[in-house]
Amino acid sequence: MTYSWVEVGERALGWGLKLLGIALFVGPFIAAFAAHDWDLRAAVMPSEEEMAEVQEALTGLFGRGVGNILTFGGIPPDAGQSFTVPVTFNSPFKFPVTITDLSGGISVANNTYRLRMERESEDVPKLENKTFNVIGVLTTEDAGEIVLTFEGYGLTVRLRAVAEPGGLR
Amino acid sequence: MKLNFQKHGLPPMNWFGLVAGVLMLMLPFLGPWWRATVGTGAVDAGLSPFDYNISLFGHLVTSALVGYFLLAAKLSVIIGGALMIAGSVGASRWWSRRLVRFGAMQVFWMLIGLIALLVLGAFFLNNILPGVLGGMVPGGGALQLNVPYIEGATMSTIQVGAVVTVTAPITAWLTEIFWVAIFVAALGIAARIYHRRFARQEKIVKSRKSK
Repeated sequence: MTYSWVEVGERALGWGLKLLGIALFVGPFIAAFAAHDWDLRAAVMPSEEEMAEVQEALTGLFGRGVGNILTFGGIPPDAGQSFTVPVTFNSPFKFPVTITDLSGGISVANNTYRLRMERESEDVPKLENKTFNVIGVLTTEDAGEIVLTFEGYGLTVRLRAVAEPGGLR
Repeated sequence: MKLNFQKHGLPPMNWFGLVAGVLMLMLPFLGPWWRATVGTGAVDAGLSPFDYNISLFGHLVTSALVGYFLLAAKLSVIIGGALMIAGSVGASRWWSRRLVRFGAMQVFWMLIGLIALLVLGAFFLNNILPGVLGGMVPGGGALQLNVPYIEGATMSTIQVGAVVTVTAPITAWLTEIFWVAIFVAALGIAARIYHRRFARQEKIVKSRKSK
């Protein structure tokens, strides 16, 4: 059986292109592992520095309650119908956030006051403290929880805590 | 009306393949085919078979293996495009069929691969990841991920214990480049089908010669 040079050429070209396809598929595996001392984890996963940076950016987003982030100023025991108290937001975040709501109830000298922010929102620069006023209005409802809502990076974070003597829980 | 370019002194060409080949050379440099954002920059992702960028809170996350793979895909489509042009220009030559076939279906399979990746990725995030991560959160947690399949806007909620709730808007969309890729894939398929006529002509010439 004899082949013409065109048939031989066509077969050779076919094999060449097949091998090229295989090389383009297998090559990246070999190159990636060789560049990372054949360490599977280093070749596949992001570097430790990258992961540390992301983790650092996320610091404080989880695992901190209102008690660590908010500090209430002194509430007068004879507040009457309403009071205004300064509240400090201690930002643990490495990005600016906007406080959009602080609501809930707090008990002072056997009275319960419903809380709301004096202004509609408060901008807090990254890792800074921001003091703003909160108004308490006498109510007959139970104190319940204090809910702090803020936004950062377009995410809405809601923290819940219960006010107790000496702080928040 | 039939256009006969040979009458005007032009050699027989696979015009579909020629256009597809030129577009294949450009395609890797046009940008991502699909984009997604969580919040306003909490997570930004751009994806194409040639490139990717994922940034979490402004920090880029990369993988060497994925990077090399996408570089190979880029090389593959550039080589495929160049061979497609060569095969289309020399459509009546014995080597043209192999060259056109090598490049013709590349973009089509890349489109299929990307869509499969997006659908499987969204399925994993919506149905498997919440179960895996839910048990790892201290104090109990609930992940309600609602990631759009390919395109759309949704809301996801992450609850950590009874204290923290994070609500995240997720938006995903196909870019204009995706539709360019669809056009290139269609041209590639058309080029492959159109090229059969040159193979038939070659057979006729061969059989006449043998007689």
